[in-house]
Amino acid sequence: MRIRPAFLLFMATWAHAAAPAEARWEGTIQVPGRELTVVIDLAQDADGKWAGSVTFPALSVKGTALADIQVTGSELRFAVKGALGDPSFHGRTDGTSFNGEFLMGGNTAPFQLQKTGAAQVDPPRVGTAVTSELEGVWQGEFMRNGYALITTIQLSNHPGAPATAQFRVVGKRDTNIPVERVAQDGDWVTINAAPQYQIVFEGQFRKATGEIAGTFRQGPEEIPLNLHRLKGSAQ
Amino acid sequence: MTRLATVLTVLWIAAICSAQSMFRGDKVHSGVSSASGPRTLHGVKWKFATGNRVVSSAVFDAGVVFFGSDDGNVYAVDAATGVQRWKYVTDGPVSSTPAVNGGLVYFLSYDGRFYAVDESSGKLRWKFRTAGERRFEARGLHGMQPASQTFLDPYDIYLSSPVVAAGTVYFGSSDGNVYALDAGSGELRWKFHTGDVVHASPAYANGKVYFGSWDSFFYTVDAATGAEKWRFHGGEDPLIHNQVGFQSSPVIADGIVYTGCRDSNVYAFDAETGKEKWRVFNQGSWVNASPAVVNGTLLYATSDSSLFQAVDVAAGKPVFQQQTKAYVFSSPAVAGNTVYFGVLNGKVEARDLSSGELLWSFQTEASRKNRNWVLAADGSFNSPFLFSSNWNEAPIVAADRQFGIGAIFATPLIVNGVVYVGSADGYVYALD
Repeated sequence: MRIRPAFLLFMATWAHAAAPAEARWEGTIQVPGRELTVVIDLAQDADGKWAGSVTFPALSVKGTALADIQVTGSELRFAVKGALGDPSFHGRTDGTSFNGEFLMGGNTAPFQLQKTGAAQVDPPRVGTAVTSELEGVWQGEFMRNGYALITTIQLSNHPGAPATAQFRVVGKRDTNIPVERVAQDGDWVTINAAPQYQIVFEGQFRKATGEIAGTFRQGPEEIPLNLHRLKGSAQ
Repeated sequence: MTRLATVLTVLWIAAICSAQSMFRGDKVHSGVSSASGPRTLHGVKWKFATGNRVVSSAVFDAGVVFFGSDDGNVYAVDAATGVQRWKYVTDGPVSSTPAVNGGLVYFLSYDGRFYAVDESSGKLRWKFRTAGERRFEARGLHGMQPASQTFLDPYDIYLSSPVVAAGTVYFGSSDGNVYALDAGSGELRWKFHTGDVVHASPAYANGKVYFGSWDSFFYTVDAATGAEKWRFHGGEDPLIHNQVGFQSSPVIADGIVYTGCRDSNVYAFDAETGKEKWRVFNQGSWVNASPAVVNGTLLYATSDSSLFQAVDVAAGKPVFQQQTKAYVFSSPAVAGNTVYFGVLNGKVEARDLSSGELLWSFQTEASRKNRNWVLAADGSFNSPFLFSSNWNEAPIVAADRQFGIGAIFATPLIVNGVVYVGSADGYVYALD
């Protein structure tokens, strides 16, 4: 009985020591001609799985999730996916500093980071389920560059998970747009395509007409797009 | 015989020299000189420092090279030594290429004045005031955000370069006009108004003046009166104004006028009637470089696809294409069996005329240092890193960084085995 608290304290200390990478790291990357400020948050969950996010204040990157995180002793490797051309970090930590190399576009630059506190990993933007009145297949048409584009969106719920969408646009070509996120907020539903497409559908469900009145947005282009339930598509 | 040969040689050199005294070499903008240039790069013969980027192309007359700089000066520099003969100070960047004719040097400055200065002394002879020079601008330009904001185009880098023919000097202006001035006095002979900025350089052939405007039209007017002969409507892009406007200057050869366009086409028109002979689409890439025609082949280069291309002029079909890694705005300059042009990644390339194969390249020091990681390791633009935001002024700042590695916007001048070219690093280089 007298041993157990000491054992637990030892285990806790050991566990903490085993994860010196878990922290907020702040410092700079020495890109030629430009000292780039970077903030990295790394944390480990109860199952030992690593998660992290990165912020580049000068490059409009805030809380982008880290990918392919590998922590082997004092050695750390991870990548950034979907921003800045997918750069990666590789370095070592002694628990107070984290130094190494930043790789991007075939270029390599050194970085020096210091532990500045506890990790504040940005949670990824997750979607939501959609209400039952939005589930099903919706269709609408919009004009772009003189061509009619028929859009079909199928919204599906999944137990314990956010809704998903199939997003198909048929014009001169038939394109299935990969969807990253579906979220409903009140009457509003937002469908974000994978980042490289820069496509967002945003619409408001109108009970009176049974339509989703919205816009198809790609970069600076915003075109009205009203969706109607496809006949035969169950509510 | 020896004396005769010497005289002929002098006359021949004089002919070459006179053919290098304005943008693209001559009034039809041929881009071809009978000079021979280096097939192998030995090194930098000299370099001349100005106070800002040099997008103006160098021209040559009587042993002197003339060029403008965005530092506001026009320089006359000894071609052999790189020593300054004189400079003429204006109140704005000189982003046009001078023309030398009849003892005068003509050029346009961002200060809204068109100047004629004495070739040997650099003293002002006359100046003419336009309604003002500026960049092309549009709402939501190139997808910059907010879409309702008007942005200037950082890639509208040149002012119109003058062409001199039959005692008249012709140039375009940001005020939308093409002006025809008496070359000796600067007196206005006529002006022709278009719907937007004119930054392409007019070309002259058979009593007509040919030019494109950013209003999406290509025009041909009578050189004596300014009366319109014909016009052609290029592509439009009402949303982001990216695929519109003639930044490229035309070339005329064998009764055909060729021009690039930001709508991604290279066009061939009958010079007399304006009838379209053919067009080559370039997959969305701008064609800002001015084409050259040699041996029945049209040479030009593209921006985003970064291709150096050759097209058979009779058929309008590609002959070859070569990858340059980065945007090309500089126009191909042909000398002998070699073609030279600049690339925005800070390189000057020499390529074989018949195959387009790379013979050598010169890289500016700024490009080698790759400040701000403008370039990826393979020499292409590191766009995801540079253009991390398209909001407000961020893309314009990014473009400025892009040019800071010594981008080569200028078109090389080749005289007596030497390549003269300006860089956005502020230097003019003499390479041999």
